[in-house]
Amino acid sequence: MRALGRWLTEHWIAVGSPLLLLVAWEWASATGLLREAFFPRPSTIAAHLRQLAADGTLWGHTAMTLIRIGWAFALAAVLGVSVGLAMGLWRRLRDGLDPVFAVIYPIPSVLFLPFVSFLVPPGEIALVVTTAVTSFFLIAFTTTQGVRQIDRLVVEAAVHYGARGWRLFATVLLPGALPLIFTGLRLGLGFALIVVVAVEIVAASRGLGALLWLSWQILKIEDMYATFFVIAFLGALLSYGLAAFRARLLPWVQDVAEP
Amino acid sequence: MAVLLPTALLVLWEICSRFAVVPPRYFPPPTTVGWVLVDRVVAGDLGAQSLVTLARLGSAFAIAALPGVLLGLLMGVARPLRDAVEPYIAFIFPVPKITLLPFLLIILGVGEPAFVLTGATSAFFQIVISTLGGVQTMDPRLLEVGRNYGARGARLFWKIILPAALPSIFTGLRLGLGLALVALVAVEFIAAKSGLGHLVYRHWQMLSTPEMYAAFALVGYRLRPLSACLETTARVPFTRFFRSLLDVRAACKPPRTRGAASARAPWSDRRSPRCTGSWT
Amino acid sequence: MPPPVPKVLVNEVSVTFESHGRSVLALDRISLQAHAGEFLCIVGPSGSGKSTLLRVVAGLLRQSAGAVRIEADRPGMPLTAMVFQEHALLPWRTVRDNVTFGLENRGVPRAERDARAREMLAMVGLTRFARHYPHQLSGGMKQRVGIARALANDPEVLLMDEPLAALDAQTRTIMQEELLRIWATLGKTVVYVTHSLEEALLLGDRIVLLTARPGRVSQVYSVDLGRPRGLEVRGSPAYGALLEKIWSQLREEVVRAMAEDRRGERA
Repeated sequence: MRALGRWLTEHWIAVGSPLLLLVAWEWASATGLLREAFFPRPSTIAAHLRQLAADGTLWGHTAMTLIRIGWAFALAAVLGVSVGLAMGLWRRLRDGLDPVFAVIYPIPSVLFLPFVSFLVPPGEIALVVTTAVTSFFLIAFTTTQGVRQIDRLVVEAAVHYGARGWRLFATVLLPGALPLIFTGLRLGLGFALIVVVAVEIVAASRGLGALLWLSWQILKIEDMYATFFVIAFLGALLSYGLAAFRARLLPWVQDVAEP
Repeated sequence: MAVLLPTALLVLWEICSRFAVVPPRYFPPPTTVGWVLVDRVVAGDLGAQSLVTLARLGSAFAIAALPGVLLGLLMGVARPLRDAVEPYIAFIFPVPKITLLPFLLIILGVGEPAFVLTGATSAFFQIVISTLGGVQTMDPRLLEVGRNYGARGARLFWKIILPAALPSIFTGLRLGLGLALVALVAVEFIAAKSGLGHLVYRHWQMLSTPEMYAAFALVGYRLRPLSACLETTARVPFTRFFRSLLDVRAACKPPRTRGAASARAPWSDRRSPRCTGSWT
Repeated sequence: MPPPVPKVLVNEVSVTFESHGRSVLALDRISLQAHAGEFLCIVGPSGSGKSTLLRVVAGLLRQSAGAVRIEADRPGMPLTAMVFQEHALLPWRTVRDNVTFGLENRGVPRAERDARAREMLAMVGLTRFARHYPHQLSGGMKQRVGIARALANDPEVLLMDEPLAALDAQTRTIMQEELLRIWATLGKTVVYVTHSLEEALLLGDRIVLLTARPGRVSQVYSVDLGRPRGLEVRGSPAYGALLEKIWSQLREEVVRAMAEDRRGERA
């Protein structure tokens, strides 16, 4: 309890600032300083959020989004790490694929929806695959970097002490690349959320993105805000949640800066 | 190999398309796409749509860049400000900026301002974070050197802090530009009636696939020349700052022990360590 | 009685590097030997190819000409184990797992590995740190782990590539004492590369002096300072005399190497 107190006194500005904002917002909205039609009161938003949770719509849409993210991330992670490792280990493959990837990577994932819907049966699969695209490139890229940044001297020493072939890969190359692979996975997960929301806006009837767009179309602005906060919460969870695991999974890494 | 593989892929695509191994309706041969691309560019409408997208990008970037850098710098030097603002940045950063679009559409109506502003927010947060990072991760010895040589306040800021953070600032600007483009194209795809993103959407709905791929390809090739442009234009006016940064670095060489020199310095009554070799 | 076969035989080894389309002769027909149980030091100016030579002996680098032979008394045991200048430990493994790395790769069963690790860590004085990660250790400690790793592998010949160069002077002196002690206990054949003539005189039985690039054997000196040796030998007149004698030769080579560098700069 005392530790919490200490943390609070140190970070009072960081905690107080959003609280102050919420209070100010509530007041401004109630007194009409902010147009309530555009900026409903936080209390109303909270009420709508509670309502959405109570009647189940929130859970249904959230679950849909999460399932899609789950599949897309799994797809992107497995393919991304494999391709990334291959590209890191075999120079010719890297030389060949780099230009292709460099062209495709900057394109916003959402634009791939038409292309993907030609390739796979339309519907859920198309949505999931589209969501996976940018994440895949991100994960592949960071994985390749992970392999390439391993200290050459360490590899030399390991070879000297008898590590060859499979053993070299499993005991040296893979662990050496892990920190960056992990970073890539973390970023990829965050990206998956971004894309899935955009894709749901365009082409889905269920999911948080779809809910947001739907609320917009029927001008239920409180529901819009409520959905927004759920998405934001999810975003924070996905982006920062994995970071907490890092210390447990990668005990040998000392942090410099986080992307 | 770098040329070989992509060309091989294109040739493969061409063959599969021509011989209907894949439905040519959905996967037109690259030559057709190329033809259409050239045709449309010459006719002007692809170019016009590109310009629309670029104009939006330019505006978005212009709106986001200066405030972003300023906020980042201020947050870097003023701790209370950073504490106050950081929660918002941390909160909004992982949120898909596209979710802001519906709100902006309501507040600003369906139109350019909403689109541009969505793109601008994507760039803004990245720029702030990169700039802040640049200030926070600068070599603290540079600050010591600055103070030791009498630089305070504004001068410390302009001569030391800003140049030291510049590389990160430019990285942030470059990344922000990319993010803004991605957000803008996505916005165009979803909600706009003009621009490259919209073109892809329209041709998708009409299943005029060669046009769709042409627009698609244009989006892909927008980014690299843009960021290269930014880098070169940035270097020229700021080499002066870079040079001053190099001067400061040069000052960090181990001081030669000449008693007379240290006696001359008016602030040497304080036993201030100059640039010590190790940083522990 | 015929002279004993040398433990390490380097015969007319040359190494040429290709870089940017030009070939650089790094080592020129080096011939030397190390006898069983001997502590052989190799000293030379920068660029004389000392590390390159060691890497050839370790089998990490293929020589362009000549041959290296290591007399293996115990079949199945590794011929060499090297202690690297920048320790080159695997950062994702604990100290203990780093020490047993070579043994793991040779398929040594776990119980035996752990026993050897305990033994080696005790020998270098790091028993308490078995579960630590390299980043938690100081430079001197990391280097000791590197030494433990090499010793755990129980090689025929121990190779050391300027292992103490990256340490500060005080730690370095302590480590030199440690090395003397460990070597006296184990009696392995050691080939030790160093910049420091003082260190070579302190540690070695013989000193091989290399010339500036391309590296050739300039002279071989015998170090008759008695065994067992301790730090106090540095004060003895014999030490001082040897230091003077060898340094005057080495100095020429160092100056030549620096002139070479300056010429390269101007070019």
